[in-house]
Amino acid sequence: MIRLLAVRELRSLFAMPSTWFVLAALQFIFAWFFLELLQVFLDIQPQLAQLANAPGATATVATPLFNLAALLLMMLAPMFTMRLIAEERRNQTLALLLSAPLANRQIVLGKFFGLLIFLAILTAGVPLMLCTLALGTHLDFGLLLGNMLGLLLLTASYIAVGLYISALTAQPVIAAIGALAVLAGLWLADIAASAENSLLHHLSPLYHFRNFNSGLLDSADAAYFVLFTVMFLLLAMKRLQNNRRYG
Amino acid sequence: MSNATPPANQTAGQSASDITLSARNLTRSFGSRQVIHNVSLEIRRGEVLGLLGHNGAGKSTTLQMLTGCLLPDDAKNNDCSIEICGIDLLRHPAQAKAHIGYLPETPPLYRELSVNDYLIFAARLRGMKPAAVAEALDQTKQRCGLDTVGSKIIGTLSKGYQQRIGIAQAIIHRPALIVLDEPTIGLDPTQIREIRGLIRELGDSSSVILSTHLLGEVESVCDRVEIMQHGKLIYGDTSEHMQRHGSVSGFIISLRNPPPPCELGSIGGVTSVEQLSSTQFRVLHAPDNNPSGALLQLAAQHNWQLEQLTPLQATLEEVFVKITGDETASTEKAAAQHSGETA
Repeated sequence: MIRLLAVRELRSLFAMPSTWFVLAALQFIFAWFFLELLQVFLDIQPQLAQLANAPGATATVATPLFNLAALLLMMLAPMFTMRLIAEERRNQTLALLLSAPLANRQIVLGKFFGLLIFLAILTAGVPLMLCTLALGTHLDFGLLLGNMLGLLLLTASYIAVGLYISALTAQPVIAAIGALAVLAGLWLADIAASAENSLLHHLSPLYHFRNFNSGLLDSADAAYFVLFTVMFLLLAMKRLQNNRRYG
Repeated sequence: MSNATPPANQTAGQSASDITLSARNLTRSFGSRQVIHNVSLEIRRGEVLGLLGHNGAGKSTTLQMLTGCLLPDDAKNNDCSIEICGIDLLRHPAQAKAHIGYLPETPPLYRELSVNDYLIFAARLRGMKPAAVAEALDQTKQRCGLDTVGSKIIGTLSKGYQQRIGIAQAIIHRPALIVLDEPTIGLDPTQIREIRGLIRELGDSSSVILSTHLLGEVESVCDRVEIMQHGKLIYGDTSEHMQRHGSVSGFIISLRNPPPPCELGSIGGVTSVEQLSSTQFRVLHAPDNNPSGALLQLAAQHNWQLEQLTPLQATLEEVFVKITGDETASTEKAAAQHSGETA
């Protein structure tokens, strides 16, 4: 059932022209950045060669590129999560799901995984572009995989927040603005907090992504993402239950 | 109720196959306003039940509760229960809902999908096996007249088609209980006739509940009717009985060469004659003594030149007034009658 809902979600997404437009525009931005970063790397390569433990191509090109993807996703994810439940409610299609033999859990997880797969496809261009570097140089696949895992966890947490906020309202636009406000708020709180050990750092998904970004796999970061995602998914399920209770 | 304590599985199985829906004491409030008061319904297989009432009477809310979209208030305290084919909807929602097909007021359509994709999704969503879906899809499209539009995108189709797709998604998994919320709204007269035919046909194999505010719809398709007003069921009977309630015994008659009204009034059975214009009269008579035969005979004899004889059709309003008026006048009913008269 979860798979059925996820596939329906993907089908609807790919039936809309705007999806393809975003997909194309994003690939263009990624490619442009990729080429710019590659150019920079080629320019400074002679100087890097003189250093003792010089950063390789992966660290100089992949790390900033993944960082960019993480920032762009923060703004893009709300545009896609806003539809998940708010639009179903506005178009009155939610009744179909509520009257079907489905648990709230299945509805929420179906939508979550559907969008996670879509956003994974959306960002799949990044690792693919970086893999082309393997033709000319030695790649640090560990760093690459760490970044991909980090990006996936980060995306999951963005979707969970967006899904919950989408479940709160019947207006997709409000859902988008709300989710963007939460995500941007967490990010700004992180970069604005001056104290090194401030709690605000630890609340922000992007802060935890930074370790993944630099190739550091910390189980605490992974646990943070899992907890963050699960919490908002549970809240979304709770909200759907309240939908039946309070109308 | 007899099936409250089933002594053996057999009894439970029998009642489950016979009664598809049994709802008891449904109550629902939004905030502090109570909109549904202790509604109880029961439907047998092969029955079409019409839920008749004005807009805002609580029909949709009741149907939402019957399909699990909305929970009744405090199920445990109020001794309320909803059973679909013998399965408790509130305790085992997933199993019970597999037997329901529901068309809400607005058809729940994913406008960006094609008709086929959408109907396949709806069938799978209700737990149909993938192997059985193809056949059900063909059959349902044929029944609902969607053969030619299978690959079209739903959003590009007309309102009539969308309404039919809405009905198709409710019946594709062959549910035991079909719940239709105002199924003929927004359709043109031909389509309405087709849909009513379809509903009648569905009523042979499943149970159908439909809500409507059209008296004619109840008369033409429903076996039984429940009238709802202010969140209460105020009347429930077979639709034939209700028609007797509903039809005012009388007719409007046009005579090109009319006699004086008193002459019409002297015909046996006529209780009152009211002159509407120089040629038109409203004739009321006792329900069990229809004078139209005698009147026609007289008209031919005296060359009154009969032009038209139309039986009076009661409006929903009048049925309400009649039904609420027939019962003993408690304060609530007096209020209902009052609102019926003023509207």
